[in-house]
Amino acid sequence: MAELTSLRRSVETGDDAIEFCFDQGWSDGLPVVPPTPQRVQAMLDAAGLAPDHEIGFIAERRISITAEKVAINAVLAGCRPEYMPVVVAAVEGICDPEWAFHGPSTTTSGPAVLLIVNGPIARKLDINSKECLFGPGWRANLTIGRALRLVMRNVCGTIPGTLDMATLGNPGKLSYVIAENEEESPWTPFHVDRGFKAEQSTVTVMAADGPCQIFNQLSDSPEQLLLTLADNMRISGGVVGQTYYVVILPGEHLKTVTDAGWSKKDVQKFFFEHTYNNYAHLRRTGRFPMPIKPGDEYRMRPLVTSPDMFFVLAAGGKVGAFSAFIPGWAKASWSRVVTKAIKEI
Amino acid sequence: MIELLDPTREAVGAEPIYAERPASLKGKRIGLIENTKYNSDNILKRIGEILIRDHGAASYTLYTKRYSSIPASEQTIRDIATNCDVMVAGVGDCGSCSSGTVLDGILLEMKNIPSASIITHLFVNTGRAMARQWRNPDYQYLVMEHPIANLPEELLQQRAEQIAPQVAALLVGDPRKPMAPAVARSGAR
Repeated sequence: MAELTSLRRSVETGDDAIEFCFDQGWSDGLPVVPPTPQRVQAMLDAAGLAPDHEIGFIAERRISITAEKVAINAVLAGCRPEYMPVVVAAVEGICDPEWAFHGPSTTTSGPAVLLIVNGPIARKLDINSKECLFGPGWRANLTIGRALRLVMRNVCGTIPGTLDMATLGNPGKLSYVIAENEEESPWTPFHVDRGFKAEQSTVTVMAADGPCQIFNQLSDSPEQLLLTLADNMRISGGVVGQTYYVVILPGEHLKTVTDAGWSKKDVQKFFFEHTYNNYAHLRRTGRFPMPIKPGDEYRMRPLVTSPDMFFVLAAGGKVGAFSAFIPGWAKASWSRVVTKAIKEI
Repeated sequence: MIELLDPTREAVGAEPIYAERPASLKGKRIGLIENTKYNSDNILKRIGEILIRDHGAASYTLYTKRYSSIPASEQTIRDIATNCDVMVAGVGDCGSCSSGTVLDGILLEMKNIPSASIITHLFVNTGRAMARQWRNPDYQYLVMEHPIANLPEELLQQRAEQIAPQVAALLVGDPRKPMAPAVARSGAR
């Protein structure tokens, strides 16, 4: 077994190791778990990885991210060792050239990295897909995303004010992890749509704004219910750039849509057809340069480039007349959504 | 006593790389890398014109990135290394594009093309952090007042006139000598 080679820092007995970590600038602002060699080794063992194994390489930063550095940051974040394969797959995702690390991690527009976990591992690790989907209460949801962010901070230099120039950012930058509620959905799971087998476990990474909630307790048909979502989405985050949108349908709304026999493709098509903007409006509201040209009132621009850019997921609580959508970052071609298989041992 | 493992990238140290500078810009072919942000092409072309007018440069060629958050493509870097003598990149006026513009300069210096990257003053820390990532912590780049996206024509020309002498100085002078850190101020806005 290869040795751990990271620099060793000594903390005197009686000194506070957590405060020491704060003092080194290793934290995101919350207390961390001190990364002792024993804890780091346990993290590596749980994923069956040698410390010097390269998880990813970011060309525009000349950064090689090793399993040892990922493990140290996973310890800091408070992960249990069995979460390590998910963290590793997420790091592979953001290092994929298609995700294009530098833009979404450095931009003033401040996206977080949304992680969507699918497959059996979500249940095994108790990754929440139900009530309080984006909220607190689940160690896996809160520490896996935090570990990824700490890798970005500590290994890749994604530090606010230097290589993270987010004007606002969003709370998902602490941790932004959800699972799909596969067992209560009549639809194929998201990772199957992405070309994986249902029995595989995957993590999908997407540069994403915060979740936007919509309310509709009146509609008993998919058309009007989905029109509420479309109406809110039409002028939202990526209206200029044509990005991706995740749409979260929780219990009640999911039932209204699926009881009427709608497939996921029906929903995507409906969103695509009901989220066009006219160019005159986009110019008048500062999204495109003025002046308004003849015909702009009738010249239409789709919100996304194709219906499958809406990722429709079953997730969230059983009760409540709420759904949500999450706009992706900027333009889909600038940072592709990437799905990686989670390798368990 | 307990031992903790360092979670950071420990790569430090410097390996600064600069291209060899020409004695002057006379007869030199300028490559301009514009990053697709509003007015970047406008201001770079104006700088190109001034370098021809005042410093005897031969010509300029404008290269456009696919989008602002990435470094120039390998093809663009090859083309400039083959067809140009010096390079000017800009204008980095956001987080990912300012650091991307600084990186364009570093990548061209590595190809032995003297380079001047221009970013706006609110992103000096971002540019410096990118230079550190490339182990070139003192890499020289130029700073222009932010913003430029919404400037009218006459102010764009003013900004170009103000920064062009600094561009020329960086392309021919010894980049290891510290330059005046002044930000080109328009004074009008």
